[in-house]
Amino acid sequence: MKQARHDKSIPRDIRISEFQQKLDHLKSKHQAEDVRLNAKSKMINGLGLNWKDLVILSLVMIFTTFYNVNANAQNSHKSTAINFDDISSGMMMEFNQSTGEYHSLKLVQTEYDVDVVGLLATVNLRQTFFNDQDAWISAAVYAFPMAEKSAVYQLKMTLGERVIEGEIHEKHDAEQIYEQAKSEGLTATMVKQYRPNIFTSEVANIEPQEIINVEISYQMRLDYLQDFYQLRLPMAIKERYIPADTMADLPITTNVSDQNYRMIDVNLTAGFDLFELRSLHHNVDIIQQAGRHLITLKDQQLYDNNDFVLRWYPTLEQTPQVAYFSEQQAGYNYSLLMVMPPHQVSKSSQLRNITYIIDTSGSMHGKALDQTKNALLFALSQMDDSQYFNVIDFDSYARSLFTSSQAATPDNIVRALDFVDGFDANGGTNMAPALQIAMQRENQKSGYLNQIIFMTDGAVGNEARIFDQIAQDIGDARLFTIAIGPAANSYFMSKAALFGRGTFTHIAALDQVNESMGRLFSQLSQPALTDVAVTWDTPEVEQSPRYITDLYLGQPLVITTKTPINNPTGKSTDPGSFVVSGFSADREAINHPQKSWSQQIKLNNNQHTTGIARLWASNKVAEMTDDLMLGGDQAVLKDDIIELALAHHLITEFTAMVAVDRNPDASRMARARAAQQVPFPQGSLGWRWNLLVGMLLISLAWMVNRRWDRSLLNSNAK
Amino acid sequence: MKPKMINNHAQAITFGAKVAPKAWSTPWTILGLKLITAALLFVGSWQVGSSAYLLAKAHYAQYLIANAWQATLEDGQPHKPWDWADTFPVAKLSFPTLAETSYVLEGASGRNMAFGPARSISSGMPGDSVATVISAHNDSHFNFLGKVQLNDLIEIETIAGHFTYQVSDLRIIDSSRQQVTIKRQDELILTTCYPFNALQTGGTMRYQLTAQRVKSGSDKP
Repeated sequence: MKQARHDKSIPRDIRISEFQQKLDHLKSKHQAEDVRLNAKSKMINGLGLNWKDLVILSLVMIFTTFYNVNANAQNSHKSTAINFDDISSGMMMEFNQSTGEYHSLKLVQTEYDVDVVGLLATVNLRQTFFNDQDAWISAAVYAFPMAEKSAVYQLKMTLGERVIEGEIHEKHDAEQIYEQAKSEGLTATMVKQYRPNIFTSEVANIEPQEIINVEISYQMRLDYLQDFYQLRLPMAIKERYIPADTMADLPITTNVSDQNYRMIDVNLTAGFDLFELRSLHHNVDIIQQAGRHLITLKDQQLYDNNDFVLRWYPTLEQTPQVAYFSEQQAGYNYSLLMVMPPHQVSKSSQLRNITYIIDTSGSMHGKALDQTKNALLFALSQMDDSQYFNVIDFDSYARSLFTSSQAATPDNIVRALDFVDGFDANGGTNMAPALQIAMQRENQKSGYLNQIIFMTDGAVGNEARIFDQIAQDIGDARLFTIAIGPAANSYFMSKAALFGRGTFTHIAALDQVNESMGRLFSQLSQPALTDVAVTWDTPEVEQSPRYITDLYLGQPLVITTKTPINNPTGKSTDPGSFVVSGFSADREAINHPQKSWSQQIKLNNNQHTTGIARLWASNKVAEMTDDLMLGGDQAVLKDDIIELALAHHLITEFTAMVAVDRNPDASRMARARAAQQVPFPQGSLGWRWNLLVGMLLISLAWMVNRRWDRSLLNSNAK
Repeated sequence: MKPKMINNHAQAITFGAKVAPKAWSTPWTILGLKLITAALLFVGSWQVGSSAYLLAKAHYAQYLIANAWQATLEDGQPHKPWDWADTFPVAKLSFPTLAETSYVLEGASGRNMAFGPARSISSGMPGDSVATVISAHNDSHFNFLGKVQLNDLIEIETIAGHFTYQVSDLRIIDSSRQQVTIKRQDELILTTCYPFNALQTGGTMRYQLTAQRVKSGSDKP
């Protein structure tokens, strides 16, 4: 800086002469190439850039040439393309073959017709879409998000005279039907699952201004959450999918009063007295009649984005409540039996003997073990001395805290806390010895509810041998399995729990281990009804699930059965009956804390319910699929599954739904009339940009050269 | 002019003094600067050269294609414009109002469109009852397409004869959402990129011109 100021102070003419000297000097010293200085180049030097700037600038320019920034790459319309993961309700989408993008068609009407029987919801959804373009749509896809534990059994799409219907066939046949239809140029699609819970079916050649009706029927098992049942019907179409300011100008408006007209009718037979019934987000009319509730959506033209959620709270009594539904089909009586636990069970009412088995192998290291320890420490600290317990940890070897289960006295609990606190994750996963110790006589107490709680994140080797071991030694104990983390062998764990007449809990997210275990431990501390049994007065009872678990607080029991209508006694007028029994906790009788409970239920055939047969069949298929994996007779089981699936319209491992064209002639006509479409070819050579960049780079090169000459000149003058 | 020059000298000298003077004279700096200059010159000339090449190709190929079309008209057989070509001219397209003429190649691939307008193979030919789709680049053979107006006439010559079309529709389409609809009627669809005179390319917007067949006296059936 000092020098700079000094330079400025030099009179102009001296500086000019100085410059001339430098120029001469340079001329003598360097060759002609260096002496291209002229008046113009001096002016360019006046830009005041230093060489670092020039290097950076030139690098940026070079980079830009190679990285062809495409100004149009991020066009606004792209946001309207639909990602399948965003689909939250039934949607008909146009598929653009050139870009591979999906765009939604206008939804005109949605109609939900729902029948709820206990925890079984049969949903009939009708949706109407409209192609508001003046162009044919050559390929479209109908997509519907399925809730967990739901199964589609019927699908029908109507476009003018064309009817496309889903049919269940054995997989091999379905593929043949599909291939044949395809070779004839007809619309036929395999009904696919894009991801586990999105159901899709394709349709081709939609006319301009055509109306498409989709009818889909599915069955859904509702979950009992804490103290209520909930039915959720997906409604939300994400905001951006609704085309802005496009009012429908429908050609057919006679029975459509709004572009988003919707109707929801729910026919609810809860099976229990209801304490409360409400819709979370919408105004509804509720009519009560003879054990049924008819719920109707009030504002049919108001289409908001909230899912329709209906909740009902059964009134909980002091004794278990039984709900029973039946359906008759093809000479058989299908029944759905639900047992609701009583509303409150005091903690100490049931004598319990708990054996905790904890996996402390190397893979549990970190969060998994820390959280498991926390949950376990809390559970131990909650025990009182009426209960017995033991703790076993295992990695490559099993170690148990006590040689036999001990009363939960304060001393013993302190010892257990120390034992658990000292867990350290290392070694392999060898679970068989640990299970063996837990099932030994020393660790089981008669007259007590023996609960074995087994926690692991590991995979299991010789599964079949361990199942055998459990089946043989479990006695009257209950085995509860908890799988931790995504890598755990859920199949083994759920099966083990089934053999052990307990439950299976999968905790996939490691940060929820503590919370989920805590909830399970507290539930297990409140058994409501144990040794549940269902006894029929008819033979040939096919019950699913085969093993009945105990009833805990906040967890209803669900059993489906199939029985022949004409029982062998010949008394065809007697519809038969069955008895549900078990032991419930009794807080008054201290010496006899268990009290037997039973209820007889007469079958009645007057109820007009549907879907129970299908529910029974899908439970049965699930069981048989498990058997298959356990090494059951492949051929027999496969045939049985296919037979059941075809009879009850189920999509299974061996059956598939294929959408078949019911009116091939109409489809052929549509195809012939459909204008062919080709993607637009490219539209420019793109020489302009290259030319501009090239010229810029050449002028930059020129500038760098000038700058260099000038600097050399300066330094040589010093 | 002179005082300004002096002023600039002063700045230049000041600047030279600010930066450590020694650094400029080391052989490494000189080499570095030489390399940068060379790299810039190389990439720059390459860019200019490639755009010049594209334009030259587009322009001069038409002469060869014109010759091939003449040969085709004479013997009715397809002729390749040059030996290694995998396409051949199928029509001569003229816009009388703008005095523009070009020769249409078969197959609207990017490679063919570098040499001239090209016909989509899945579309029809003039005289058929299926639309003819011809595309070209908006910075070469169809750079005038934006100047074509409604009701202008477009003439097209094929082996089947002369056909006249009248422009009935001009529109801009988003090619990521829509495709060219080939209707079952004798019409001519010309497409090119939109916007015209854009520096950058590769966008999704297309300019589409639709012209309906006019049965004029000069038409041969």
